[in-house]
Amino acid sequence: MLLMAVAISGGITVWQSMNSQAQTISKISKLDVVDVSLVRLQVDGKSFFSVTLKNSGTIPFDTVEAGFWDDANKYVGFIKNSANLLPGAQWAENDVFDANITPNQKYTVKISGASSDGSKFSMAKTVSAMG
Amino acid sequence: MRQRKAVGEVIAVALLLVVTAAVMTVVISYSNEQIFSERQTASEAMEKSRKRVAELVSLIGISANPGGMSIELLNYGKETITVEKVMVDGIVSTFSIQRSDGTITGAVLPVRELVTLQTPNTGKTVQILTNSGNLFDFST
Repeated sequence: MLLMAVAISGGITVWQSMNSQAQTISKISKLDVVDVSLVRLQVDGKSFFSVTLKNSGTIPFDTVEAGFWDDANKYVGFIKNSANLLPGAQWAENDVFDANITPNQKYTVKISGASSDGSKFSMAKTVSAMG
Repeated sequence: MRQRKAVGEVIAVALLLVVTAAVMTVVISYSNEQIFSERQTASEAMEKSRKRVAELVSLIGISANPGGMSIELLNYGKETITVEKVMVDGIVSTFSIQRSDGTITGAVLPVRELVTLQTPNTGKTVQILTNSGNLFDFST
């Protein structure tokens, strides 16, 4: 009986520990870039920037941001607060910016986000400008 | 001789099996989720790219009139194109698209049909953004 009690209580302890570990491991903040494009318009000093992000993690994102640095090293982009981007959901944004870019030149696009539990995700991607 | 009943051993084995099965379930579902999610994102990106490549639009002509601009377009691709946004010199403008017989197509560029896109704004360039993310930049 004593051995059984020890085995059961041990099993419960191990289970609780494993469960807590699994829950911690399964909390992932991750954004995937489904699409990003940067186009220089025929209008002087204007660029079109579009981005589609997907929450491929397991917790919602409260804030998402995407932007790039133009030829004058000026940062332009989108920021979405209170986004509530749920796991599996996508966020797409496009707009024309007052930014100078050169076709066929590569630009760094910064993607970042903050999830509901306070954890942050950020990544950079190189995009070749079109135009 | 009294026979020993192996109840404790059976319970221990059962417990071990339950714990192992639970751990395996968590690990398998976690890895499946990851693999599936990445595959899905990749296929979505490829589908978007495929749609973009298939979108072929030719500018037939642009003319300015008192009511704005008329842009004649031909979708010479194989799929219908949906226009998400029209910009004149980078500034978003309202628009309407109509066939040569005057019927309104909504925001759609039908396949191999000459259509006229009307905007109330005038400018030197017109940008047409499709819902697959393609940007056609036409100059007057």
